[in-house]
Amino acid sequence: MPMMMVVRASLERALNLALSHDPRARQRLQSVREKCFRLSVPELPEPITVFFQETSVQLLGPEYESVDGSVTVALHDLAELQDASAVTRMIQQGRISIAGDPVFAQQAAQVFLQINVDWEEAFADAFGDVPGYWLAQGIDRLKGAMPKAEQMQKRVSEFLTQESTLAASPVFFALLEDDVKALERRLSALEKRIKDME
Amino acid sequence: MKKHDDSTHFGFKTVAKDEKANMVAGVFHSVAGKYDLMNDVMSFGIHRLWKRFTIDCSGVRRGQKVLDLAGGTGDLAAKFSRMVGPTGEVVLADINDSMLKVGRDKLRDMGIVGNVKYVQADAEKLPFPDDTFDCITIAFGLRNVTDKDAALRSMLRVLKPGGRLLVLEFSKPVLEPLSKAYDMYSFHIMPRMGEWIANDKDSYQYLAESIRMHPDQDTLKDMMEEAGFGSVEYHNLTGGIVALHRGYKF
Ligand SMILES: C[S@@+](CC[C@H](N)C(=O)[O-])C[C@H]1O[C@@H](n2cnc3c(N)ncnc32)[C@H](O)[C@@H]1O
Repeated sequence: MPMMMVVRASLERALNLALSHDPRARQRLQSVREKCFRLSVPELPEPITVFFQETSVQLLGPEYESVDGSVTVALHDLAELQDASAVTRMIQQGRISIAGDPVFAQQAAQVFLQINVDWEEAFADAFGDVPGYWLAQGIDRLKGAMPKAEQMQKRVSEFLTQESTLAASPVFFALLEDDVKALERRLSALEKRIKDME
Repeated sequence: MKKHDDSTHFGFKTVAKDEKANMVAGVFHSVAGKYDLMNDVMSFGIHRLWKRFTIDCSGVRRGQKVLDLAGGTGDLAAKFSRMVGPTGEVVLADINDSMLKVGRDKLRDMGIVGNVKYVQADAEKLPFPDDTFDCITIAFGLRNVTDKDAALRSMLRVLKPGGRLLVLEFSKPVLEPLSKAYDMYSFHIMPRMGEWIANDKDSYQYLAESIRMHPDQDTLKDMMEEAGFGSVEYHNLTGGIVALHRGYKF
């Protein structure tokens, strides 16, 4: 757990650095403010849980239970998401599922997919001019190798909207099951207290 | 001659119950200015991870009311303030006005205003109506409280039904070698660091002693159940050097 916490804390810093240098981030964050989104990729050691704030995000751990929406998808299926026509089939096959408001999930994805930062300036602020320049070059190369943000965003939103029309997902049932179990525990504790009082 | 149950521990010393609060106050008045720096130095920054885990287990969401009790310089209150948003409220309560002042200035410098209230309060007699808060946290505070049972009962009273209490506190390391290394650190190195960095050996000696005198994981769990909390469980952090206890009001 401590290792994951350190990773989470570092990732949170990096994301917040990017968001703080993106002039439009605040606007995107506004629509998801004080909401929590969880992306579960079974191959990753833990789900990514993002709590959106006015100007920044907090990355929370798997113990946090008050999520507003979540998406579960296998790592190899993430790439398949690029093909919008495959998404419905993937949902029907139970390979992707979504819980909560699909519009929220779409907005949550947009916060990151639309990040637009002058990396050279951002890294220069954080690390000094020369390392900043080299880091920014690295980011540019990485971006060249990735599909365009708008393309990704379109695909994600298409898949999320399609999912909303389908029946409740396995993730939804898993979350519901957790809630029911928690409720059961509370009820039995309450029963015990009532018995003790009698 | 004082009766036995009129006495309590102040670190390893036995003192009259009505003296402890003043002595603890002396410690925290003295460390307030350097508290955050010392916290980072002495825990190697790990206290931030312990607090992160506390936030994870809080389940706090927008619109809720949270009490950060013995909140001192407000690390948890700052995080909660952003999570509950303008429709929620965070109360940072501490018995010590020096710590509260450092906390208030820090949060203001972080741009956190509007949904945080600062209240000088004793954990044993919380000045809030019944059923007020969705979540109460007390981080590294309970061991300084004179009557812990009274404090736990007071917290239960001001929690809403369904609300939860999170107690983050030093505890008992689960492995013997770790326990020895930790003792060596807290009794030999911690007071020295206190002397060098904060010029205050005695306060840090008290902190080390109070850690050792604090109830272990299972004892604290029993105390919480005794006070009326339900579904009490704990997680050991860093090998039990610290434990996070969670209990609900039903
Ligand atoms: C070690 S500090 C912890 C501060 C903060 N919660 C943190 O984790 O950084 C302990 C705090 O408990 C406060 N305290 C001690 N006795 C208290 C009591 N009876 N009621 C409320 N606060 C108390 C002290 O004033 C001090 O600010």
